[in-house]
Amino acid sequence: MAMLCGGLLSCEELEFHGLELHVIFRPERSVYSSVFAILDTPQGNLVTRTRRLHRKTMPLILTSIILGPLGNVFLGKGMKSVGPVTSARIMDLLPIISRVLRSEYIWLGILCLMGFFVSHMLLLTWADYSYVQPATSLSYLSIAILSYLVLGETISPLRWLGVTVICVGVLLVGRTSPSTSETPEHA
Amino acid sequence: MRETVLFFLIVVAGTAGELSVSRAMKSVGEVHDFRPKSILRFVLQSFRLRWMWVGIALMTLAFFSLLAILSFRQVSFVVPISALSYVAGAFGAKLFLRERISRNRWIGIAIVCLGVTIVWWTRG
Repeated sequence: MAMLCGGLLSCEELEFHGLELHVIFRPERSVYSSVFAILDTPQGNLVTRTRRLHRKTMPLILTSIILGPLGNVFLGKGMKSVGPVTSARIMDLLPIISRVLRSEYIWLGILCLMGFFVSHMLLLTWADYSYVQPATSLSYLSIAILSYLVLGETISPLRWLGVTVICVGVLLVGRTSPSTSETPEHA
Repeated sequence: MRETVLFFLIVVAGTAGELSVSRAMKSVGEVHDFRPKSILRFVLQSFRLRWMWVGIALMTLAFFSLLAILSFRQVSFVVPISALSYVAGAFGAKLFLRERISRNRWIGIAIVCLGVTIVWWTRG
């Protein structure tokens, strides 16, 4: 019995903690427990820390993915109503800035982006920049969807392809350890 | 030309701004307490840092560039192109924050660049 458990629990423990038996006969749990035990270093449990970090960051990442693109969509809507900015001269920009500041869509966009900024700041305190940026950047897919649904933008198949390729790249980048500077050997 | 300058500002100033804010956040420390009073204290503490203001200034510049380009380009074109900030971000994080960038991340970044190129072709 002790061999089945991969030496993680002694026979005495098995008899005492009867409820643990079902865990032992599920190989994936045993394997996972073994990995779990191996990585239990004096510096802290790497697996637990990484999982806790993922659990902590996930709701904030989701908030960022929705609020960021929504903010950009509102800004786009606002700027289209303001009119094209064709000159960089201050005298030409002043009336445009005034129209920008009076647009309710711009303020709505700014509000969404502020929410995005706060969740982004909180994320940056927990995980590295090079993890946070890719993880929140699934927003590239949601921006295409929102532009199509809310703004009625025509998105060509080639553009959908481009956006999808960006997301694939982003997912690949995102599937790495959240904090590289703390655990460089596992980066 | 105008478009290129605006995209350059969005990508470079935006990324430099985020890196500066990230640097400021790291010196403030982790947030464990979510009560309004603690969050307010956290925000006030971060605004006392020089890097925070540098970051805000750069991000403001990037923001106005974004507004300018959104006035004549589609949102679904502008935002994917701004994904070029990945390249800038990876180099910046490596040089400026001394973060390690793994091989997988570099591959991901290369794929992002490919996607940006495809979207750029749809410029019309």
